This record gives sequence, C-alpha cells and structure tokens, in this order.
Amino acid sequence: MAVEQHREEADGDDGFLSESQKERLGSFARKFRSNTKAMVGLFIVVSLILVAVFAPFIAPYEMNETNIEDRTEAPSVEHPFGTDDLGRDIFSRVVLGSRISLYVGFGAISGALLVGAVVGVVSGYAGGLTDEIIMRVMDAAMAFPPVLLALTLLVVLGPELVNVVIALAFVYTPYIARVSRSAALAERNEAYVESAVARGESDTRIVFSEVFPNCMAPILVQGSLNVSFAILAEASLSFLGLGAQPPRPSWGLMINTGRGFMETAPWMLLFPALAIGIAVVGFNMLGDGLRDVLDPKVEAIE
Amino acid sequence: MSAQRAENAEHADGVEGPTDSEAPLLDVRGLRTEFRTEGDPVVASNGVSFSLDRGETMGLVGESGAGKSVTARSIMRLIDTPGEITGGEVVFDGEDLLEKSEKQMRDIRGNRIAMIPQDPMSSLNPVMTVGEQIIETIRRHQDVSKSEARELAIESMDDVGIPDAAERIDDYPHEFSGGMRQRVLVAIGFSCEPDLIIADEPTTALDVTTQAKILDLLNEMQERENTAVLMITHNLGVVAQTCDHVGVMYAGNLVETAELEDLFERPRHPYTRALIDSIPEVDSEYDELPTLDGAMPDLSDLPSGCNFAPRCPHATEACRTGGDPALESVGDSTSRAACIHAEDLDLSESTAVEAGSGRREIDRSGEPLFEVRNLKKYFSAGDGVLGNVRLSWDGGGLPSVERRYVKAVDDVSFDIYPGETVGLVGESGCGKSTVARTVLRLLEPTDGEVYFEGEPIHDLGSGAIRSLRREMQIIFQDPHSSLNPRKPVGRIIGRAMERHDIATGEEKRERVGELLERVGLSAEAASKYPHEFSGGQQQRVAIAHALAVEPKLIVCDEPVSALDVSVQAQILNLLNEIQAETDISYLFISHNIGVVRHICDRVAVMYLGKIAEFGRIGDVFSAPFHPYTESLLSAVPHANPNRKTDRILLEGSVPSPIDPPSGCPFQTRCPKKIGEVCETDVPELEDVGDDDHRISCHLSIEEMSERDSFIRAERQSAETVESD
Repeated sequence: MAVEQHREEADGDDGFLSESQKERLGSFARKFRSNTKAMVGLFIVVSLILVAVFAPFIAPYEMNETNIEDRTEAPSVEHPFGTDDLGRDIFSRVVLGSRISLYVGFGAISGALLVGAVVGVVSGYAGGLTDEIIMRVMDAAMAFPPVLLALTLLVVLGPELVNVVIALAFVYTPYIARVSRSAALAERNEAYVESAVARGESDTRIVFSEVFPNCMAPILVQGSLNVSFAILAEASLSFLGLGAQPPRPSWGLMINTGRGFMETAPWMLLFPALAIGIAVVGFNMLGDGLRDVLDPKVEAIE
Repeated sequence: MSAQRAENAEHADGVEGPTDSEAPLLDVRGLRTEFRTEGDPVVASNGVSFSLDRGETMGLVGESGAGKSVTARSIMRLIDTPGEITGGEVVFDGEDLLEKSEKQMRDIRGNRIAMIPQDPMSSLNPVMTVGEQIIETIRRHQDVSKSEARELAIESMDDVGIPDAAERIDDYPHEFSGGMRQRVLVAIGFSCEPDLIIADEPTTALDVTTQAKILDLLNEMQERENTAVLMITHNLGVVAQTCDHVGVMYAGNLVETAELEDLFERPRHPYTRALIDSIPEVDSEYDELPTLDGAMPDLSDLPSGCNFAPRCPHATEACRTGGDPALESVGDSTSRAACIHAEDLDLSESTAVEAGSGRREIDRSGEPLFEVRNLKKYFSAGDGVLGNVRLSWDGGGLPSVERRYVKAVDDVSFDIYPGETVGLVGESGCGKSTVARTVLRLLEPTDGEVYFEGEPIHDLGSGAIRSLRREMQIIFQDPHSSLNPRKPVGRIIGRAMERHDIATGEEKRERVGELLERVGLSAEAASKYPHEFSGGQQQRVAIAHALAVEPKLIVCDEPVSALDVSVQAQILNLLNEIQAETDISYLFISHNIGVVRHICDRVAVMYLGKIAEFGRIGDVFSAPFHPYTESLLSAVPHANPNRKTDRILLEGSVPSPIDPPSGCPFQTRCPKKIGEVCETDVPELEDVGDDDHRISCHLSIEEMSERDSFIRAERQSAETVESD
C-alpha cells in the first residue's frame, strides 16, 4: 500500500497535474490573504514560533539568573517586564516560556491529530457497530472536563512536561475524532466512494486515499483551534502544580508564583498572562480564518 | 389573446394605442439583474421584457443557468446580495414594483404575487403543521380571526384536492407524500387569491404520474381563480401542457417569445428548435438524437456576437461579430426572436431523423452475459441494531417481537445479452437503483442469484468480486459527487487502470488521454480537477472512468437525469456510439420514459420492488399493457401541444414497501382492478406474446389491449381532465 501511494505521489509530481494544482494553491492563497482574521492569526502564530526558535538570542538574561538585590523590581529599561521574587528577569522568562507553551500545544495536538483523525475517519467510514463502540468510548472520555482528566492522568504518570503532552494528547483526541468522524460520515455517502468500490478498491485504500483527503479541511481547523486550548490547559496544569516544575519558565507556573505578589508586583502576573492571551487569540483566529477559507460552500460559489 | 395584442401594441412603435382598454397585469420592461463578483459583474438577466395578462399562463424555459429563476425572483424583488436589480421596470397592475419600499413589497408577496417553490420536501417547515403554515400566510395578508383563517385554510386544502382536509389540517408535513406536499404548497400559493403565481419548476422533483396530477391541478386552479401564472421550467413537455405563451431564455436573454402553438410549429430561434429536438419523444424512434454542441457560455465571458452563435448550426460571420441581437417581431406572426436570420430561416421541420433502418437486432441465441434470478433485497426498517424491531402489543398478554423490513427489491429476474441495453424504469422508490447496486454487489443481496458469464456473483468472496469489477462498471446520476473532488481527473481514470493492471506509467497516461478524447474532451483535461468541468463534461469523465477497465457491462444509474436536455442528448448519443463500437452491454436505469425508449432494447417496468412488465421496447410500449405501464405512459407530458394524451390519473400514492398490499402490489391504485383475485393472489410474470413479452397481471390479454396506443393525435378539447 505504501509503495502504491508513493508511486502515485511521484506520478503527481512529474507534470501530470502541475497547472491545476498551482491554480488551486493560488486560489487558496488569495482567499487566505483577503481574510483579515486568518492573516492576523497567522502573523501572531508565526511571530510566536520565531520568538520560541530564537528565544536564547532574544532573552537578555539566563532564565534562572537570580539576583536577590533586584527582586520584584518594576519594569525598567534594564528589565522591560520587571523582575520576580527571586530577581529573575521576567521578559527573558516569558520569551523562553514560549518554547514550553508551543512544545506542549503542538506536541499534544499532533498526537491527538494522529490518533483522533485516523480513529474518527475509520469510525465514520465503517459505521455500524464499530462506529458505535468507538464513539461511545470517545463520548465517555469527553464527559470529563479536560483539565480534570489531564490532572488525573498526570497524578498517575507523574508531573513532567513530557507527561503533560501525553495527557493533553489523550484529552483532545476525542474532540478531533468527533470532527473527523462527522466529516467522514458526510463523505461516505458521496458517489465517488461507491465508484471506488465498484472499481474494486479495498476498504483501507478507500479510507486513506479517497475519503481522508476530503476530510482534511475540518480536521485542520479543529486542530489549530485545539492548539490554543492545549496551551491554556498547560498553563492551568502548571498553575495547579502538576505541569512544568519550577524553576522552568512555564507561563502558568509564573502566574501561580505571581499570585502571591499581586499587590506588590502585579507585573509578575500581568506579562505571562498577556503572553497566554496573545497565543490563544492567535491560534483561535488562525483556526477561525482557516474555517472561513476552507469552507466548501465558499469554494462552491467561486 | 388579449395579452399578445396588448404586448404587440406596446412594442409596435406606439402609434396606435392598445385596442384593449386593459393594460397587462404584469409588464416587465428591460429588466436587468447583475451579480457582483471579484471581476466584472455577471449579468444574469439582461434586458428581459415580456408581459402577462390576467388568467394567462406564460412559460419561461431554458437550460440551467439561462436566468429563468433570477428573472422570476427579480419580479418579486427576492434578489440577495451580491445580486442587484440594476435596471428596467416591473409594472404590476399599473405600479412599478422596483419603486416600492421593502415594506410595501412584503404586503405584495404572498398576497398579490405568490410563489410555488420547486422542492416540496424542503419548502415546508417540518416543525409546523401544514394548517399553521397556510393560516400564517392568510393572517399575514387578510384581517381575519384565527378560526376564520382556519376555515379558509381547510377550504383551500379542499380546493387543491387534499382528501379529508378538515382532519389533515393538523398533520405535519412529513405525514404527507411528496405530491400531497406540493398540493399544500399550491394551497398556500392560492390562499390569498393572488393575481399572479410564479411557479418555479413546480413539478421537477415529482414523479411523472404525480406531475400529471399537479399540472392538472394548477390548470384547474388557475381557470377557477383567473390567476396569471408564470411557469418556470426546463421541461418543454410541461410547457406544452400548461402554457398559453412561452419565453425561451438563453444566457440571461429572452431569445424568443411566441404563442404556444407557434413556438412548437415554427420556432424562430435556432436554440428553440434545438431544445425541442433534443428531447426523445416516447412515441418516436431515432437513430441519433440531434444535439447542440458545447454548453451555454460563461456569463462572465460572453461571446462578442450573438450569445448563441458558437453553438448555432446556422451561424454566419455576421452572427459572430454583430453583437447580441435584440428581440424583434418576426414577419406578421406573433413570435418575436432575437436572431438576425429569424426572417429567412425556416425552422418548422424537426432536425431529428426518425429511425429508418430500425433497431439493431440483438443475438439472443447464445448464453446471456448477465443473468439475475429471483433477486431480493430487504433493508431493515430503521437504524441501528434494534431499529427494525417493533414490539406488538396486540392480543393482550406479553408483547410479541416483530422484525420489519423494507422490501426494496422483491423477486426480480431478468437477463442481458452481449451488446444489449436493458432498461429499468419506474417511479422513485420502486427499487430500480437498489437493483443496480445489488447486482453489482455494492449491496449484499438478501436472496437470489446473479450470474455474470456463468460466474455466480452472489457466491463470490470479496477478493474475487474485486477482480470481477473489471468487467462490470457503474455510472452514477450525479457526476459532481461521483468524482473525488481532491483528485485531478487523469488520476481518477488512471487509477482504475492501475488497479486492474491494465496499464501503468507512460502507457497509462496515453490511454487516459485517448479515453478523454473518446468521450469528447481533450487529452489535456487530465490535469484538471472535477470542479473545473461542467455537469455534462463531468458525466463524460465518469464514462471515461467506467470505460478505463474495458468492461463488458456498465450499469447506468440515471446517468442523464441531472443534466440539461441538450447535454442529455449528447450523453445518450455517446453511450450509443460506444456500444456500437465495442459491443458493450448496459443496464440502464431511469425514470424518464422517453430516454428509456430511445436507448434501450428491452425494458423492465418496476413497481414496488417487483417487475410489472418486461419485454422488448416495441412490445412494452404498445398493447397489451400492464395497467401501470399504461398509466405511466399516459402521464408523460409531450413536448408538442397538438399531442394531448388521454391521461390515466392514478389514485393515492405508492404504498409503503414496509407493508406492501396483499396480492398484486398495484391493486390499491389500479384503475382496472377486477376484484378479489387482485387482493389475494400475487400475479406471476406470464408470457403474453411470442417475443418474451411478460406481464404480471390477472387481466386477460384482451382486457390489457383495450387501447392500441396511449396517444391521441388530435388535439383534445380545452377542458381539463377530471383530477383525482
């Protein structure tokens, strides 16, 4: 199967489609560019990624560089976001913290996408008892509030960042699976699926080569929306002490510490919270924008 | 016709005033509706002018995209952004509707101008009773109390022939059949006694027997209320049955207006001629249908000359360069046409050539290619594992468990010989599509045998079936959904070859190109995606896909019902050509009797999962008839006003296949029912002639042969046939 796939891919690349495919991408890009929401979202997300990649060069101080004499200093030229109770530069910590947030956000959702999309599409295509069983299990998992479920898992797995990723991937899998399933359900009734059966294709091939590509749009939208939820959840978990452990510069952890200094040093709380807000808004706008752009109804009118 | 006179006066340089003192009820002048797009605005309705008198019916015909619906919606000012009415006047009863405020329009819509929509299934609100929906309309426009409105609603339901109106008024839409729902919509339309009804494809979603009843109802209602009707349709048969005069639209323009009979006797515009000719008539045989090449031009990229010139067989240099001609009267006739050659072209002769040589003879002496014996397919009634289980509390004590099935296909047998086309015809829900899927094992048969070249398909394992798929292919009704939107068509077609190891690599690419050229597309089309093609082209791609594996049998499931008539003719001709070249066999499923008559060698008429009649085309379409075949044939509207059929209107609607009637499945509606035997005994398919013509009916051959043809050539009197 994999070989077959590659051969087809190769077929696709050597000029068999080029023009039309380019046109398709072009039309997507045009629509994407004219969508303000998508563009603002993309700008924020790309900026975040750049900050995370170049964090060590941007941050003026080491993340754990303490200076007891400068503790809880208000924002100044030297420390643009001020310092915390141990005299660490908050700006540096927020910048370096972006790595943790993005790591957890992307990591958890990649995992959820990998499992959820496959399970959902297969379930939706198979229908019947298989579908019934898989979806009831997913419903059961969704019945728990996400953070509570992740907390429980972390108690079992132990509070480590890697485990946060695993726990959140587990928590968000059903959400992806539901969306994938409903997309597959709609596609299953399209005549091209029947046409593939009539051509003599196997079920595996129909699911992955015919149905799956047509379900990608809603799955991607759901994925990018869920990245923001995962970032928020990581912050909550760290705030509750089961996520990233001190002295790592997790935004949630920083808020937790800052809580005690709310009146004397509000910047300890303010800047990490702002960072979370911007990240969440960014991924949400990107997801919403993608939904507008990828909406098949909009495509049909064109 | 006073309207015509008034209209002529309007446009005849205005020297003499209208002879008739009454102005037309509706006078549309130069109506122009545009849709804003990324590029230049698209003109969907371009300077359309016509007028309509009280009590008169005007048909607006044309293929999809011609601008019929946009024109109708513009009259009611129902154009949403990005659409906009940019010019012209719509004078209704002396007042220009385009000048009215939105609030004034709301008082006119539904009250003085009402609309009957196309789809009875989605046009009624499912959570409101039909009574509430009729009352709502009445109370919006008339100052009456609730109970008075209810009386009026019952009255209007009575008028449209809904039995037991007083009881059914509190039923919900889902409790009505499609035809009855369309009656409810007609009742809503007429409830405020409007002056003008706009009927937008009112029968397109209905079966022919239901369509016949609704058309009769519309004619009757209109006569009683003296309402003007603007009938929008793509079906020239419907036009011929209902209209007084007709407007033909093409690419946003009216290209011809004429009195009904003039239009059919002597069309003045080549497009009208082509439209009439491309419909296969039920009572004629053709070798090949005349077709219109190409498709309607893209409204955003119109040709520089006459819009129709690129497809017109009579086009000259002047047509291609002279700009789009305006609608002008032709000679001293009532017709007006937008064609510079209208005066000198004589289009009164049909271009359709009736078959001279007769049908190809099929050699049925050998083994059949494909044989179906006693095929049954039952679906469980309801979803899920327990969906079809009903507890029956009858008889007291413990409930008994009952399993319920929809008997979609019940004991169907037929065979297909090499090079032959066998048709399955019947109304929706008769099980014809289920037969198509079950014989290919796209659905598992409940019982029965299917042989392909002696191989028992019903017994094969899934692997063997998958290899056998090379020999049997299927073409679906909706080409748009049968092609994977994410793949270029070349890959879709090529994949079929790869799957069955017919060709790979360079060879495959070459053959894909050849196939695309074979079906009338260019080889370069291989790299395009399905959405870049028109509906007709998509169906050509689907045919190429089916042909890619060089099958011996193609099942065609309503392959032309989603297409416009001119495109339909192209596809039918293509299928015929391919058959002549490769001796392929078709199982052709359709509800369109004219199409079946044209393309099939033998045909099975299905009713409620069973075959009612089976035989050669000539035999099935002439006496003796099964009573169902007879009524089906009589219900087809002819695209010729001089050929009126003595319609046999069936009572009621098709019974539910969960509880089919006892005895003969047709006995509940049969106009020739002879008595108890029909209710108790299931009739067998019995030979009634020499040529393997079989009918399943208790009547004697003489009784089934009472009429020798279902068509009366002479024109019937104007009185409408008594409806059910």
